[in-house]
Amino acid sequence: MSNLKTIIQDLFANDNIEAFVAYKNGKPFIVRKSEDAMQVDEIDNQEFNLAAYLNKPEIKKLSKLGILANMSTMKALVQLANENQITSDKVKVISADASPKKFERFEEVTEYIKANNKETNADLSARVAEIKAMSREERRDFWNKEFSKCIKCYACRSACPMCYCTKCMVEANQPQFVPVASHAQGNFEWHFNRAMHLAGRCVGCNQCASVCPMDIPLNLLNQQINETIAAQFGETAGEELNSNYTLSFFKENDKENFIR
Amino acid sequence: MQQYKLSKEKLPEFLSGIIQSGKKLYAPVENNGSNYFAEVKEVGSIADVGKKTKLSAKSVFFPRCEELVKFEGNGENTKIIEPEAAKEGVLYGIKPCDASGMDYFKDFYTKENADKLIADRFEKTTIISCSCNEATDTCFCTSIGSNPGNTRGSDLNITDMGDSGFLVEVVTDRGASLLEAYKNIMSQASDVDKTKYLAEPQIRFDINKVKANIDKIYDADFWQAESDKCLSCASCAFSCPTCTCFDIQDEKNPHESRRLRLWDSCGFDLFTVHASGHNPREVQTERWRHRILHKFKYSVDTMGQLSCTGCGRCIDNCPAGMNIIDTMIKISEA
Repeated sequence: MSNLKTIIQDLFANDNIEAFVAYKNGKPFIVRKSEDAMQVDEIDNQEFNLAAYLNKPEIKKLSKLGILANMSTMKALVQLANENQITSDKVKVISADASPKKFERFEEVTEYIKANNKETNADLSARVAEIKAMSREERRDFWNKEFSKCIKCYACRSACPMCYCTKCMVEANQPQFVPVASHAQGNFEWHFNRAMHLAGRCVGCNQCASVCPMDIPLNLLNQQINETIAAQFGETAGEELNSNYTLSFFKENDKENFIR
Repeated sequence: MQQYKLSKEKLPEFLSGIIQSGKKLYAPVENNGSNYFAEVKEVGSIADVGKKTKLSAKSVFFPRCEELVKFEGNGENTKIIEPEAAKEGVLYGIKPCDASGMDYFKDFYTKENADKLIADRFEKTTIISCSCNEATDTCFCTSIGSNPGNTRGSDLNITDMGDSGFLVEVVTDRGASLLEAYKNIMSQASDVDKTKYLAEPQIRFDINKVKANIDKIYDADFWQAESDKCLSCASCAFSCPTCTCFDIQDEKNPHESRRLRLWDSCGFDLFTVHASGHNPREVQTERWRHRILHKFKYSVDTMGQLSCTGCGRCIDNCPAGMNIIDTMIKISEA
């Protein structure tokens, strides 16, 4: 297989893509013209989850584009496909590894994930266990202290590949659900609601925590919910192509009957 | 400028003296490996002032969320509660870039139609800046015509001279009057040249070329490429010492209501949305251009000063790797 730059130029020439999302000097980079493909990084250890760019309105409106996908980006792409946000006709996926490969269909992406998924969130899981072992009061104090730092810059939302709402709940003001202010209540309600909105959808890329300028460990909330979903429903977001993912689907044999 | 020498051992005495005198002391404190400005009750909790704080010191004058007015009760029994006046305070450990930013900030909020609350805080806060012995990769104060020992916006400036202790420079009368009580722990100095102790951040772009080109680059081609990776959060604006924008929110329940002033950012798409739904800055390219032009053109046109201090925090904190220096290079080469 040829190198990444050739693949991108090929996508511009033969697949008529309008942009390709990759990295340059270790940072995200949007290739808009075929010749700019020469500027992209060819190393394969970048961590940024580029799927976040598919939610940027200026990119989302393009008719066809390509994206370089590391493991967490692939999981986000699969989940976005599950939620009918992208199709394989529109988004061309290239694996971010030593020998970049073009995937024709998302089924191939999930096969790749199954074969290569070595990422574990074991450290994070251990931290979640520590927090769960705290008393109610200690846990409340822990989160109050963390949330008190939040300046509501919304970097967590902007960099989250699964935050694609065109109108975020925090921006709804008729009625106002979540206080806009970055005071204790406003911050708590924002992060609490955001975590709940990601239940069964979060692909565990930890990008919310890594981009936070105030170093709030937001990924702990998502990890806790991911663990609960995995234990209760046996599903992990972004690993299977399945539009009936946990919270979008009601199973008739569900032990809860409130929804019937 | 009057100069004093202060030994390393005596600095804590100076700072604890300020706390004991009843003034509030604001200084960098550490939290999860990063430093932030906060009120300190004891000198021991002050973090290394050599390290750039994650956010600027503007929260001392412009809290991220503050009550402008509060109402309690109903009808004829409604009580109006005004915010409390500021307390005398000292802001210590601010870097010269940040202190220059506070000078701009003060001008912005106090020169015309002064904002009572912010003016009051500036009136009562003495600013002690600490010159930089080291610069980071993202520092570019020298590129905008400043330097790591600049005293603009400071009342006192302290320079670490290594084994020779600290050089304390008196910049304003307010600085002189704060120092009055501590002269016994300092010694007079004169003509000490602090420049050899200062960091030397590399000049990254030619500010004169930026100034020459700034009026003709509004429609330049580079804006899209420069803004393409921006994800439109506000970590740049909220860490910037000169970003002054705010949002007003009313919160109410049957017993009380309050009007809040909150940080806001021109990087948010909601920032310019009109009631009609029309957004004059619809795409991120226009929003990034606005941010840059405000700092390097609009504030020069309206206030005669740049509103970028070269602190580089917008680069440090950007999740997506946006870099104002790259854009400035593009403008200077346009």
